[in-house]
Amino acid sequence: MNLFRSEDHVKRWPLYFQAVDDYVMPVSDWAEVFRVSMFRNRLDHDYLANSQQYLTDYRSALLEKGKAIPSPDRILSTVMFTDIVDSTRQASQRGDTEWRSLLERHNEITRAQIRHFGGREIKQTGDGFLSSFDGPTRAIRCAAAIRKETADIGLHVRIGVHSGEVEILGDDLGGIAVHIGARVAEAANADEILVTRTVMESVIGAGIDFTDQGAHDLKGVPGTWHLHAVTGVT
Amino acid sequence: MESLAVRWLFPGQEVVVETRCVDCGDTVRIRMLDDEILEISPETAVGYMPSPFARSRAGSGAFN
Repeated sequence: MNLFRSEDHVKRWPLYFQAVDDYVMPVSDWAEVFRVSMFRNRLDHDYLANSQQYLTDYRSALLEKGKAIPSPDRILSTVMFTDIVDSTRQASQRGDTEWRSLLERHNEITRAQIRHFGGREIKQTGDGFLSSFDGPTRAIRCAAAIRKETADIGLHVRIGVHSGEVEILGDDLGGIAVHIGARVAEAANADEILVTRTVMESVIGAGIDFTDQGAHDLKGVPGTWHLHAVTGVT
Repeated sequence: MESLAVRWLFPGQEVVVETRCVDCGDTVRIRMLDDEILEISPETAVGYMPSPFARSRAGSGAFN
């Protein structure tokens, strides 16, 4: 924070005009804003664990002073979660060396298919991947290709696909849509690609067949979710 | 750590921030004790902070 003797001094500052979306407030107002937990609790051992709440508190304190933090960037995206089924048991059966080699092959296959279908690898999630796509058709076709190629090397995956608004958090993605995608993947069986109704209805006419898998409760996600399994991709 | 938040690093102690006005170079002084702001000199002093998200979004990696 830069301090000035008065608002007139700020306006005289040559750089002021380059910063149209920046904040200027009396020091007394800033002092009140800086009472919030985000700053007050900086020394707490669980600071990072509560950071989301702290950000909310900070946002509220700024709003009380007539200032607003812009919402995080949100875009419509399709997220795909993949996961190797029964990986712990397989690792113990195959032994470390063979399992590591198989895992590397799996990672190569998954990454290659994500790239091939124009997706973006967001991160690895244990024995799986989170990736994002511009549209659900690409994600489903990618999922089908990953399922086939991993089966060819003796691995079985479960895959979940969901479309919704996601928050861009640097190189990562966040928001409820990402959680839904993860829960959909968890609900899938071995070699199964599950999608939400949102996805299924978005790809009508794209040559993808589904079977209705009924209503599901997704842990931590409000409401009941109708899921569909991909049965054919032409 | 922002100047007005530094007081939380020294609970129960008076903290003085003394700096120069970015425009004119004259002194700006703030005395704080925990929740209380004991002195702001001059009383017209203002703080200027870049919008934290507007700046951090620039160059955000995920979808550039």
